[in-house]
Amino acid sequence: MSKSNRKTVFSNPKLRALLATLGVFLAAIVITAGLPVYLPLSEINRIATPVLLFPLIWFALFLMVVMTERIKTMAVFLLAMVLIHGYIAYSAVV
Amino acid sequence: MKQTTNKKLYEVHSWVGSITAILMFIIAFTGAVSVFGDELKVWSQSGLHRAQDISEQQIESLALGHLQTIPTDYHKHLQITPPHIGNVPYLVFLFEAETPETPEGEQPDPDFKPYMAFLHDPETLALVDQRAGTREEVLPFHSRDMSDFITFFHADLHLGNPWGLIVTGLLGLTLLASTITGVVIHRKIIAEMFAFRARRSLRLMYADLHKVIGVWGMLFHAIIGFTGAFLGLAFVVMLPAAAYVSFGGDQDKLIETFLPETAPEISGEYAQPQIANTLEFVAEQQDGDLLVFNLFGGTDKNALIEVITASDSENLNVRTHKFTAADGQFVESYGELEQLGGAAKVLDLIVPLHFGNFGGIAIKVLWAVLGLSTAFLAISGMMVWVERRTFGSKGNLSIKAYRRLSRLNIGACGGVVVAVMALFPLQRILQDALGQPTTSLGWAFFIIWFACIFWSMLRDNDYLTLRQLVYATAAICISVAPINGLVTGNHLFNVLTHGHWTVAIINAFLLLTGVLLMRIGARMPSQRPERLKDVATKQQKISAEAMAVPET
Repeated sequence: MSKSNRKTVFSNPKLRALLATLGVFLAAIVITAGLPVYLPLSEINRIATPVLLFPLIWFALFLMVVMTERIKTMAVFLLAMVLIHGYIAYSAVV
Repeated sequence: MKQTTNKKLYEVHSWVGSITAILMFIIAFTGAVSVFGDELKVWSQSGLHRAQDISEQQIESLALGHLQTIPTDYHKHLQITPPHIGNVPYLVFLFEAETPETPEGEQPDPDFKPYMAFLHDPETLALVDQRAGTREEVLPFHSRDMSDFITFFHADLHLGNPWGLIVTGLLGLTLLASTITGVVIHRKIIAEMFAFRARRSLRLMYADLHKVIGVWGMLFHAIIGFTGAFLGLAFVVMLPAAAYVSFGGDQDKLIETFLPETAPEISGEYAQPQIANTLEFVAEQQDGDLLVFNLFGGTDKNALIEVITASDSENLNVRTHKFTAADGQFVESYGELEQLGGAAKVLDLIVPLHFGNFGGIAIKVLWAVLGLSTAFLAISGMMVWVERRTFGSKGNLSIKAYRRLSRLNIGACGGVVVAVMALFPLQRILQDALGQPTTSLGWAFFIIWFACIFWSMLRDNDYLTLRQLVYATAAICISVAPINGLVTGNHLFNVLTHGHWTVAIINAFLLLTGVLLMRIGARMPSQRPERLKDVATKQQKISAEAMAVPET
């Protein structure tokens, strides 16, 4: 079957692939860095919980990126998560 | 569930699996072998073949002897490690000295030697060597062998830190994603547990094998994916990220804060430390092997003892047992991170759950079998993917391209099995008989592996290639016992007199595996059992490809 008459399952595959690989991984790292600032837990658990949640955060974001119908909205959401958590982590250090 | 959702999940499962299949097979196969890392270490090191159990009294006697002869400055910390722990094939007594205070404006004493090590032969307990200097200087004996080669290859593909760890960590994440999406798309889980139709078409057999392995090992695959992701990424990505806010990214400071060093108040009064008693007490309570014995404060009345034992059937995590040294009084027992509580307790379980070293040899065998199932899950999924595209309606590439991919799969996956098995005779020949360094093992491994890939890519018949690789693996496995006997003198017929049981069991296992593989190889087809339907589909695809070629 040729490429042209096959109905594509995913819209905007290039952006989706970029977000599912690099975007999601980067977002999961920045969220892990930002979470210890506002999690209402003891000091060790504020560090241990995000570390433990990292694979699950990554999987949740990955699933959202591959399943969403509106990939551009998802891109904005990921960017917002990165910026917010990046700012939270940065402001806690400075 | 909506059909589109299911279709999307199926596509994600299929693409993630096919992209990572070869690497996943390599990591899972070497992981299954690495489960027996301790046993392979004993097999690899000739000095450990006949090592006897060292009694608690012998350890105490040697420790007290050293404590009497060394300067008291070195009484700050004594660490005793049994042979093969930390890759050192000796019984090691490592003394650490108190760092002298340097007056302001002056340079630290360049002659200060912070560590002193005594190394004893694991069989005779004779003193083999003694050194003083930095930790790296006194313990340069790290002897790398085939067991280390396989373990490190599994951990980071020998790409090192951070890139190798990132690759294996990402593979853990993709295994987790594949497992979860696989469960969702195969909703008739109970029915698929028993649906293995080996005598129907080849594609159906691969698909059934993939589903059966996937469903039966579902929990294991998810655990290995999660823990593998953690172990790969924890020290490269996760901990630095999580520690960024509290410790400015300084992981050492983080570890120091939550796991402070034990330091007793020194009284200046003498008391003999109860080394044997504490070791005996722990041995009675636990069936986990001794990993490390720590004595803080030497022969001081307030000295403390920590005995660290491996996971066992009751405790999944590595445990520390604390005692007062002077009277051998038990204080407490805890897991490394367990004492911190909450989520840290869960982190403590990650290592034993990944390595399967918490319930003796039975759990290790189970983990190895399940690890092999993860490897076959990856390769069977890939074969389904290729089959559907070569002989089915799917796929945009030419048949040639899919055949090439199939050959690469067989060469890379079959080749890594041949190369790993070849490390056994190579260890004996290159390292033990010819005295070559560990790098020679690495070179030989990669040459064999790439030769298999090259051979597979050159051949037109995948089935014959696979059969040849199975025969090669079988021949190597069968050769291990005689080569081992010739080089070390320890063979299957003198095990009763020499007592090298671990070596003999591994050799016997490899011999049986070799015979079994010979039989499997003899039953394998030497060409694809093509069905009329497949031939027709293939012909259609070839005609369509020929028509699609633009006329010049």
